[in-house]
Amino acid sequence: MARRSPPSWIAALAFSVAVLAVASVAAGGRGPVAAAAGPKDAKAAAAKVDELVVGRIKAVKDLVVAPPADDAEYLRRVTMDLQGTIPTYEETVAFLQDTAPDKRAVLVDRLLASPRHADWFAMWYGNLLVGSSIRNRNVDRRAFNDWLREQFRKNRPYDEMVYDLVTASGNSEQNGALGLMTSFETSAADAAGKTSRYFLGVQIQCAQCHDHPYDKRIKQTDFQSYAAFFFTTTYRRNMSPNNPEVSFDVNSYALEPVKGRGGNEMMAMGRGRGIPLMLEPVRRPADLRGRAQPPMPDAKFLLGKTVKDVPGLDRRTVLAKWMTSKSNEWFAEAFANRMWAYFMGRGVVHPVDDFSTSNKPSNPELLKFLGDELARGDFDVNHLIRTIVSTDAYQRSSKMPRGLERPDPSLWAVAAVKPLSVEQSFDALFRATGAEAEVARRLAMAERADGAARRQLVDPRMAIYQLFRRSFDDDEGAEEETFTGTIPRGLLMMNGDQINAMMSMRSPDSPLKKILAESRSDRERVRRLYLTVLSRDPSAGELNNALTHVHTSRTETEGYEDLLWALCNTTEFMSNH
Amino acid sequence: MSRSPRTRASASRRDVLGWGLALGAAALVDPRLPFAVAKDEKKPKADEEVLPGKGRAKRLVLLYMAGGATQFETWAPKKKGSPNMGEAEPINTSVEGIEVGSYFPNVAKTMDDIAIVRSVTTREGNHDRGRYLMHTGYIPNPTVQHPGVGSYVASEIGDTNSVLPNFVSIGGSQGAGFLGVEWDPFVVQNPAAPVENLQPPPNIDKRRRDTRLSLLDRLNREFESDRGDDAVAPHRNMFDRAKKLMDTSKNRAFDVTEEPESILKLYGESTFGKGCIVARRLLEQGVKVVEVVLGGWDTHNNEHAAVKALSEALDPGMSGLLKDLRDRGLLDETLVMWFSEFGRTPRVGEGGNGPGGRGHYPQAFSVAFAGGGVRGGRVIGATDPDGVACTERPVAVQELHASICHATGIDQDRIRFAGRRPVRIVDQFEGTRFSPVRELFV
Repeated sequence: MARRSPPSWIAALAFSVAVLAVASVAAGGRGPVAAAAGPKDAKAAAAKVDELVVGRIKAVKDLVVAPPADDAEYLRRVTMDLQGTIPTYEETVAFLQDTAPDKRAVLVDRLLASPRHADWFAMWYGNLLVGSSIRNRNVDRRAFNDWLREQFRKNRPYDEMVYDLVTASGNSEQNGALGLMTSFETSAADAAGKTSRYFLGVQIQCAQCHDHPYDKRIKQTDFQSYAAFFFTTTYRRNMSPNNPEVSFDVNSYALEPVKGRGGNEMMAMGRGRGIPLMLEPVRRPADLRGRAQPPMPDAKFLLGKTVKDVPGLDRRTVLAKWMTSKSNEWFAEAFANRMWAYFMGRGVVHPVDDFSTSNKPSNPELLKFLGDELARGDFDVNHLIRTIVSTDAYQRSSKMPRGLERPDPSLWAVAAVKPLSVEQSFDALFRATGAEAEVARRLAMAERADGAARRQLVDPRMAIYQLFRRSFDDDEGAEEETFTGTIPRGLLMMNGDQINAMMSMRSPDSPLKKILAESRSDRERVRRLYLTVLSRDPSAGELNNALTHVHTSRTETEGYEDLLWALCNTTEFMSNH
Repeated sequence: MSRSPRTRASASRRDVLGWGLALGAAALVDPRLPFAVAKDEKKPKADEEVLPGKGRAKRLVLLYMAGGATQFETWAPKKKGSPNMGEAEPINTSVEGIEVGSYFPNVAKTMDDIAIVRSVTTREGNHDRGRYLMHTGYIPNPTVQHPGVGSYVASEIGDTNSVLPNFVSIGGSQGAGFLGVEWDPFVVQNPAAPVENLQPPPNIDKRRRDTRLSLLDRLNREFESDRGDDAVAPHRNMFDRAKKLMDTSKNRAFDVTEEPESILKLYGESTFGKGCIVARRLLEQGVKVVEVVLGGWDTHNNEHAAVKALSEALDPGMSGLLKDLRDRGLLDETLVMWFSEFGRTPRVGEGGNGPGGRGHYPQAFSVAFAGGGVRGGRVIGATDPDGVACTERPVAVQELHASICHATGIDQDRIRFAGRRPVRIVDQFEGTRFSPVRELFV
């Protein structure tokens, strides 16, 4: 039977990583990092959260709550949520054997402290802010991911992180925090729509062309005066024939009153400094070169007061200060809701980015408590995470007793079944098939590579997922509600050379070799394979099913390869539950 | 110059603003629809109902010119010697009085089937935004992913039980957005090569594949029965749909090598030509929408050479497709649309463009239609002698989409939901309901 050697996915990987190889960049960021606040009591906060959740469950007659998740279910879920991949076989066995009463809390601390957590959260949050496409040529994803990774590694307070993202200035190569601002190019509408959506949870973009259709408080003029915070920002793409590498400059200018013309004008705007962010889609650079500017429209906080421009202070700084202040409930609640939705499968406000008068939170007291807890804790992200993953609600099973309907997801009476992102799918697949050893070798090589190909604006890790992303659907900004599954993804998993090479016994790091060599009985082998791929023991029925399959296969090799393939394609493997 | 029998000299948007207000039926049916939208609901005039050609098209072909295709060297040439014509010249077509660019010798011969709209106007001069607008009929909005025309047409007229995908894109396209993955295009990158991953690797024969799938089915059973069907069905359907596509003999429609030499010749030997052949083969097997992409139109430098080379693929590809569809009796029920994200600037080699190059120009550019109930051999709209502004019958993107809906028999006012947000198939931008371009059909 024809087999390919070396496995071709490795060749493809080597190629893409070599092409996109980049040198490491100093993370940008500015300002000292606040020392982590003193120890906060996640357990007490979690108890309060459960009280608020159960309050609403009790109000529903005869509602059956799912039983607590067992250790295997919890381990797999929290590892996937915090590291974006499955636990290793060794981690699973050790955790299941551990008898310490506080082993779940210890596990969470270990996961949060691991570099994988910062890697994964940087990828997740970066995709959220600027999309997952590596074709976004305006964002230096390498620098942006590096910067984000550093924020999550240090557990940077969320308010400081957002302040940096919104006020970032300078050159995109030097300042990784510019990833968000550069993604807007020169569109003030994007800047207004996305910053308000991501950081305030409000979709003011709806008010770009007319008053907000669902939130009567927000008028079209509110959108325009919020967008005006970005009018004093300029964007420039740097590219010259001698230097084909691209970088971007984003700068802000303070407004100065100009004699004789009335109103504020942006001095020094125009020539050579880049194009200001504007609402109009069609730009006419001629108007920006030296000619008189129309008076700068006033900026106004959302549903707040008009801002008086202060000489020397640029508008983005003013916006960022208001946005991230503790008195801005929207800010804390929007992030608390996003994190709750990420871990629990459903936001208290759903969809997550749609706070409005016509879309009320399903449990207002819960939302308020989560927001307050975040602000009280000085926006300590890890404290919020510890609080959520310590709740009984998070630690329920995703199984419902047979024959019972799944209750309303906004009651959190049963754990959610969440689809995996492309990155999670493949990191899990790489780990289950042993391929991550090869991925790690390639990434290390890319890290060492010289800066020649540096400015491809691509993170080498993203280049790996890109090999597979074409087969997946992953619209940027789309909130995934159910499993996505396109025909190309099905074809890739069934027929793709890379996938079949990973499933092959001949793959250099295949777990099958070890399992067949070290375990005598098929029973033990099947069990180990289940623990490796699904991070749990098989049930009696599953064990029998698998044994029947192995015993009726043409060869032992083929039997175990097929079992590995099937386990890696189960809905269980391809979801977080 | 317009050859349309009923061209209105400078039709104004006010024509459509006068329509009576009527409470939309959708408002009464769907409680999610906010009153603010319902009260603005505008219904079509009675005469739109009797506009000929409604629902004539059973299939749609999109010929998308990625990069921003010039209108001067293609559909809207200016007088010979005009400085805005660059090195191209106008040539006569099979229809007296209609001229096209000199790079279109074969397209010129099929002019009887083609209607040119020379006065399309938008405000999106950025590639991504222009592509989004032209494909979806909506201005890009970070909070909603609108479906592209291929997806929304497929979702309206497609067959959910089809073994072939309802929408195939050769070269990539706008996705289905909020309509969901089921209506995403099945993308073929290279029409001359076998479909990626359609053939199993040599060590996985059919028996082994089916062993794997039935094992997978058994392994899924416990998990799925404990977690409910909603969460897991799409994942399972993915393998069913992929397997069906592998096993159907209809997948030979993707194989251009089955065509005789004469057909390959007719369409030209280019990748684009082969894409057009695959498009016809897919339509014959029941695929509803095929998009064929020809890239390379971002001609900031030396446009003459670039357009000449592109036309060597486009001219035989498009004319071959029209002729072949006509010969097989398919053209009358197949709507073909040629379009790009915007046009090119009238002046050559100015405004930051290289020698002989043109910049982006959304203010006045061309789109062409054929088949599917469209009356060929005519020109709709016009620009001034320099090609700077539309002087007759300016056409908005929404009118193009309304026309596609008319031809394919889709209710352009139907509301679908993106989350809680009601979204019409064709946008009613700033309170205006746009109607089909009637000159295409009358």
